[in-house]
Amino acid sequence: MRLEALAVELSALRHWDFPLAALTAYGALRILEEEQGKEATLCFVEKPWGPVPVLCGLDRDSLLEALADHLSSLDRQGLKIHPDASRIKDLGGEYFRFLGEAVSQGDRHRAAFLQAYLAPNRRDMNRPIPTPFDTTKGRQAFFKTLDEAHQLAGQLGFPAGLRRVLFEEGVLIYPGEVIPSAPQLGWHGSQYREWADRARNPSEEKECQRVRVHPVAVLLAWEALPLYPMALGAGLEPRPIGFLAPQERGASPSLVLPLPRRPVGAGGLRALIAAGPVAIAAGRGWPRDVELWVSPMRGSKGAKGAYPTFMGAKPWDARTVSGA
Amino acid sequence: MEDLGIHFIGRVRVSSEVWHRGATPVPLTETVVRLFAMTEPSPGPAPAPEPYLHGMRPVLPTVNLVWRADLPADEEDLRRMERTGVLSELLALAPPRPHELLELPLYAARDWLSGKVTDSSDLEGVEEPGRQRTLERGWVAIRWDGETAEVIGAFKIRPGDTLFLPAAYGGLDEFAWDPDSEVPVEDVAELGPDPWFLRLHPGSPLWAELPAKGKYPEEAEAGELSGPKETAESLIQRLLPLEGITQAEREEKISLNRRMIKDFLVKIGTSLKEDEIDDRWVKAFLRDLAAFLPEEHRWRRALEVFARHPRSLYWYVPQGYPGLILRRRGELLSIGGEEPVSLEEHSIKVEEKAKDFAARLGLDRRLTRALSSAARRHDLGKLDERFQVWLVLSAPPEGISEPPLAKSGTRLTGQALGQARERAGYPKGLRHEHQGAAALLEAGAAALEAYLVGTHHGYGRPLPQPSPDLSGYQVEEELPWLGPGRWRIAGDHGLDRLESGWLGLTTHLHREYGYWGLAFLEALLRLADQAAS
Repeated sequence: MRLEALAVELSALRHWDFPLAALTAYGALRILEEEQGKEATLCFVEKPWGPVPVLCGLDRDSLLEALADHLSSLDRQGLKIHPDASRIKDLGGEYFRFLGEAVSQGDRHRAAFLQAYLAPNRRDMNRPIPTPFDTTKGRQAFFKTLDEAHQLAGQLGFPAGLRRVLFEEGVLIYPGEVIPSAPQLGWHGSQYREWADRARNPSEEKECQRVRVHPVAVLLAWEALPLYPMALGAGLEPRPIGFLAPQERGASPSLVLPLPRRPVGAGGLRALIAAGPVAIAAGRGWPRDVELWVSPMRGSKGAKGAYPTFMGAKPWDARTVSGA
Repeated sequence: MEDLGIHFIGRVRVSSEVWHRGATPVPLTETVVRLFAMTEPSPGPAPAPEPYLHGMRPVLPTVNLVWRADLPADEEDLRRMERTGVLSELLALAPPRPHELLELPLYAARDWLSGKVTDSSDLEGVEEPGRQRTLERGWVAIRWDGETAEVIGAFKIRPGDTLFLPAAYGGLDEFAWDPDSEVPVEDVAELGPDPWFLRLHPGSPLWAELPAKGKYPEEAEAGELSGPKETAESLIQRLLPLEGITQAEREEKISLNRRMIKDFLVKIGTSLKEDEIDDRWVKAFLRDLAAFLPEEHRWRRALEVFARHPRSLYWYVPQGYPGLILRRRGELLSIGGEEPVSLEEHSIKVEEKAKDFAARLGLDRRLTRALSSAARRHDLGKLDERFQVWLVLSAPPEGISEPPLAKSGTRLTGQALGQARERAGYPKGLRHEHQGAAALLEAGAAALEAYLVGTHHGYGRPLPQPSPDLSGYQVEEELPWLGPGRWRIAGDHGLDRLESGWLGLTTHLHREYGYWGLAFLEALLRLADQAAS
């Protein structure tokens, strides 16, 4: 049977929730193909309200079961690389030892996540450069957020959480929903915390009065991180793959999201992610059956100002697409 | 004598620090190999290979410098050559050779060109120093990207640039980088292994080997020759044959020939057209000159290689260039080659080479079959009639092989080739190998065969550029030696689109054969094609 014969529309992952919703779909694909060994593919079909992800290769029940199995047995220590790490920078001093160990032990999973989290810094070997996906600062801690998300998703129930995120409410928890403290990551525009934009000081708001990201969406999106590894570019500058370099010095990179109109596996998606920024920055020809969406980042990791957050994504101007 | 070879090093257990000077080794992981396997387009950002070769250590952004004696030191002259396209043509004909590149920190090149003389080192990994002196100058360099030459000021230099410099700038002493040196740098392009171009121009050390004006009594006779064409004819008569004469006569003749050749070469730069040059006198001249040079002379080898070349030499006289550029092969191997060759002859030759490689390497029957089939059909896309017209239009006048052609044996340069392509109606940027791969996929060929055909020029891993041809052009051909059935060659190959299955096919083959395994098979086809071209 062709993979496309079994197609599950992830109807709750809507484009106005990009980038988190797209990352959630990417993460689901990567889990199915690379962690669970399923033959799965992903595409985005056009609906009247915009693109919607479709996972092909298994039915809805099998999909939920495979993802729930994975999330419930998630090797959090493996994702964190080291049990004592609560922030990415905690891995810095021993990056090369961890990577060497992962390679020598044939632990592809650990090596892939380590390279997604950070890249060595040629100027200071003990201060590697973290991925732009690390939007935490202050008292927040990247791996602590992962632990909290996993714990909360377990309490809510993985199958129920997956159903809600993929098919019902989507990636957010809305004001008024009584749910214990939800993880805070800037992977959705709603998380942009800037006092001037809000009626009250966010730190004084009650948890249930805020829009929060669902812990299952956080976990699935987390699984997409190896698709966006950090690389050492020209001059050994650490740069994230799949991001548009900022135009101005000190500005933040923008996240590029390819939306294939035909099913691709994780390998194909990786290639599209890596090639997308080149198409945009260099005006290179681009396949007409793959849309590129771009999510800018606001805020910064600096001590002052708003928390870094990926804002809503917009399609890259199709008029520049060769052959379109 | 003490053995200091690799066995000695193994025995004495030299500290690993000796090899990487304290650099931290960086493992080459699957994540990185996967990025390196993407060559078109390169990932954004493209990973740097240095840490996987040398370990992690401070590395300054660098540029590569090449000094050439046939580049004028005057900025206006260089800009004029740039405007007229001569600069690009010249560097396309005589591109940088690996042995003449000097890698230097970007800051050092910038500072030197702009007149700030900085004490720096051309050793890898040496940190940026602080001491500077300032001179009054603002030199330009020529950035070469493999296709186009651009005259740029120091502030426009980017990391990784290859920069040509007039030899008259200086900057090198006998051994290494010396920003204080004002002695013209020796142009060594022709002195490396396997020289395949040879420039004869007044800045060349060879020029100095020719006698100074007025040294020979025959000068008047040479000077009386009216035009370059007549001079060439006279030269041919005088230079050939050199055999069957006494030693004294021979020496006398050689000295006369040298005088006339020098006159002639001067005239080439002003009025001679390429089709007025004769291979015989060029080779005779080179043979003479080589014989005249001392045994240990650095240029002797290059001259002999060209003089003894069994096939016709390619010669070029870029407009305004004060000399002649000889090449042992055409500019573009994919369409040029040494001489016009039919598609059938070339394809069979490549298949034989590929089969030979496969047999020597012990490849199994399945791989051998895929490789051989890919080799036979690798230029299938050249059946595009417009490509065939391009080949015919660019072929030398002495005649062409039985069509369809694989190679034209063209002696045209980049610009003229582009004009021939335009006249033929073959769209710029269209890749014949992608047209061929698309035809194979449509005909139901094996994935590996189609992939090898589509990537045999290094493009399309994993996303070929969209075809620039949206005219709907297509042609069907039936050729028994390509196998049964008709082949449909379309202008819009469509391999860039997901619907073609190319991206999925590439990732599938990476899984099946591994990144190294697939690259190995690609290399076999590319080498077979090169060996047969």
